[in-house]
Amino acid sequence: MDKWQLGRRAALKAMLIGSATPWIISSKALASSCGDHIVRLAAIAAPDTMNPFATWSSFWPTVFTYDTLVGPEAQRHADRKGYAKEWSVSDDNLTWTFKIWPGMKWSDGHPATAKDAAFTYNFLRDSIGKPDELNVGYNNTDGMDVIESIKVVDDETLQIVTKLPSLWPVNNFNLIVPEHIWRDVSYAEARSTFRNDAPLVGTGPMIISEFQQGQFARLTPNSHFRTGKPKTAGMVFRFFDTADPIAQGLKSGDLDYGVSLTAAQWTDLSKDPAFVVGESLTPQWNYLAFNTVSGKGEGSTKALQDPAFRDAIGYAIDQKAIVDRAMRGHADPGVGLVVPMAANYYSDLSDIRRHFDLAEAGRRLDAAGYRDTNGDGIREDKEGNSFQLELITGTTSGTLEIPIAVVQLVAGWLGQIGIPVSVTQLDSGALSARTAAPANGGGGWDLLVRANWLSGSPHDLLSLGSGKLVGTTNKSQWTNDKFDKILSEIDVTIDVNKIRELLDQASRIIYMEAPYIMLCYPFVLEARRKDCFVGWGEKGIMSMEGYFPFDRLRPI
Amino acid sequence: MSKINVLSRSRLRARAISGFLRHFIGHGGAQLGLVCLGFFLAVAAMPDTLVGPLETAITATGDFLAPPSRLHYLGTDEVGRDVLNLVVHGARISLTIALLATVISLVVGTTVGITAGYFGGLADVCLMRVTDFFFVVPSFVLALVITPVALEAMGAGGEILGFRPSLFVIIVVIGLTSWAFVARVIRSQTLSLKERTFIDRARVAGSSNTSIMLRHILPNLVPQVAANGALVVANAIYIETSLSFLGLGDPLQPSWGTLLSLAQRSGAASVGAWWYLGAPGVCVLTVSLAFVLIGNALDDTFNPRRRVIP
Repeated sequence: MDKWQLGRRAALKAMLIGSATPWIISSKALASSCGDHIVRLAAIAAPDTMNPFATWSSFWPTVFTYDTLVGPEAQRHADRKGYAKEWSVSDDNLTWTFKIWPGMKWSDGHPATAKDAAFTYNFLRDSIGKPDELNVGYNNTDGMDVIESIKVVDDETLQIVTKLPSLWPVNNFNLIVPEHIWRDVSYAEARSTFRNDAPLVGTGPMIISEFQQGQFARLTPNSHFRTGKPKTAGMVFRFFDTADPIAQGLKSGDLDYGVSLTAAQWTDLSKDPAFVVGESLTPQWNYLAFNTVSGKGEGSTKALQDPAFRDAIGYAIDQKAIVDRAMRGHADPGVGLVVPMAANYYSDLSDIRRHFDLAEAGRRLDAAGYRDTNGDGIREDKEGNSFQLELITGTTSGTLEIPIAVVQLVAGWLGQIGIPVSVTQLDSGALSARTAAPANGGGGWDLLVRANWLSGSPHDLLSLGSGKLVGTTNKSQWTNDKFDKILSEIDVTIDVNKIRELLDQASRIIYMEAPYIMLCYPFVLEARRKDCFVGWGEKGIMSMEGYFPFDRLRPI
Repeated sequence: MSKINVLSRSRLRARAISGFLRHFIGHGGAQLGLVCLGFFLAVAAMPDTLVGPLETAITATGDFLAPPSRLHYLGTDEVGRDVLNLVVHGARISLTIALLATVISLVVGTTVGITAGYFGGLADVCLMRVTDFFFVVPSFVLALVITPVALEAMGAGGEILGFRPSLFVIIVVIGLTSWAFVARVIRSQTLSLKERTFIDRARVAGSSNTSIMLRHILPNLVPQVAANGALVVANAIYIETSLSFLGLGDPLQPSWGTLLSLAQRSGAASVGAWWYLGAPGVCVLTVSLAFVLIGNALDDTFNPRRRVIP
């Protein structure tokens, strides 16, 4: 009997020890994550496939594995080159010559040559006009219609000829994929079902060796990387849908780097000497859009179609208060279409800029014929109906979340000038459905607070007002022939000064007509631990557009 | 004779009520529940006199996520609003949603329960299968699916019965997803009631089915309805909180759930802003606990079988 009891007790102890062991082991591992030289990072992201032709959401982590030919990053930083080592354009601005890194290899040892780059571009270009056109993912046919020809001169030289002068050859961010892996993939597969399972084959510094959707990607250093194998032992990139686990992970030492932090977390970490915090400019717009559609899909009042009404509302929006209160200073106040990140082109439109003045907004509404005639404190539109606008909002995937305080501020100010607003928060899918073009079943909303993250390229900067993108990027569905003309002109211009001038003209047109009120251009907030690695960026700890700094990071 | 009869009937009723109240109030849990509930009802009734008008992002003056101090007894939120102000104003919205949703739930549940129990047969089978559906599918999951769809469909601005559409949708959804339990209890009680002789007497006297259900059965169901109602309120508060926490509430009218959602989205948990998460959290806990205590006490008082035999 005694023996039996002893046995039971021993079994219980064994169970206790057994259950505690993994916890102790893992907590030890947490305490010193530096030991294995693996960089641990986390972001709010939801990559769904490793196939860059099929999705927009897998920028992280595929950008560490695949290179762009040139891309925005290499043009800004001499030490962050992509697939091409050098590039030049002929005097007529039509023929671009790219010198590929000599002797470059794919991570599986195959030579990486101009043929692979030509294959990637031709793969996209040949799909144009077919039912399975590759226009749904990060690698995209957008802008390729200016290409006349793509020619492989030799293994190290690629030549792209454009029909008109265009910056597409250097500005496009299509990821170059290996021909020997992709040549048997059909367009239909590339668009959807081909998952491009890990381990991948790329030319970037870190190769994805394992991908678990909704959890993490494990990356290993590319031993064939053109400037030498990265010094770290690899990376683990974890994906979250909220910022709390990221901040907690940084504090507990579980993460070396975290991005997509909230302002409160960022401030908290900035007080801790173990961390370096940073903020980077982004090409994101947070904007207020008016539903300018008339006929099917129009809003609750015709006033939304009236530029004078929209202009008056512009005087009731205090961009500075939005930045100070809602964004806690982590944003630039909104002005026009050109984001401050595109420093070459940015203009603050100071001569035509609206200032915040509720009384002025009221005067302008009165002047435009939107008065409060029955004295109930609510203005009426020209048909005599009291205003009651519906504002819809939500976070779209791939953008920084808009703090709800932004919506509270906007709704509050409009209420103060006699235009009551109700707010509906929608999830990403419902928001896209409601804001689609009326022909696709969208419409019926009045105001929209939304964010969009494209790029700082001139073409993308004007896409909010593009007649071709009505319902997709151009949510207010405002169109203007003059604006579209400038847009097509800018696509075939490569002189920076000329582009700046055209952008300025287009910005002014859309600013005066006010289909959008730009609220702010938010910063992305990031933090890193100091204890394990060196080589991070100074201004912008991690690049938001490329593989930097994982080619040069090294353990302490 | 009849005069004496009336007198004794009213006296009987008064005695029964006072006996019930004595029993009910004597319950320790009921006392605690009533005190808590009374406090929150008072708070919800006069938020403006207690803490002034609702602070918005525009009128906010405080520092960001400042800890509790003499200026802000419960600290501030991520845009500098006073958390005490928000919690007090949130009480009205949370309680309104919970109580109205409960009314809907009780009306639907009682109607279905009585009809099924009284008529029996095919009506019973059909109604009970519908009830089973709502019983088996977790009401929160159902609400989670219905709410965004309803919001999208009814989303056009304006007010419905004095509520913003998004609040109205939440009330209706909670009401329509949490009645199954009530219907079950009411049906079983109706089954037993309709076999009693006073029902037979009413039928013989020529009362219609509707009148029997409304005038003879329903009054006898009051204990069940009241006891379950209190429990449904507690549940409704939870569902409202969860739905708002997931971002389906109205961001301009902060309920406790919306506050919890805002706190979570601003990262309050990871920066140690316990006051921002704690204040609405404790309120939700207290009010739902109060309703559960009252519900249990009512059940104990009404149900002779659960009474401790002295």
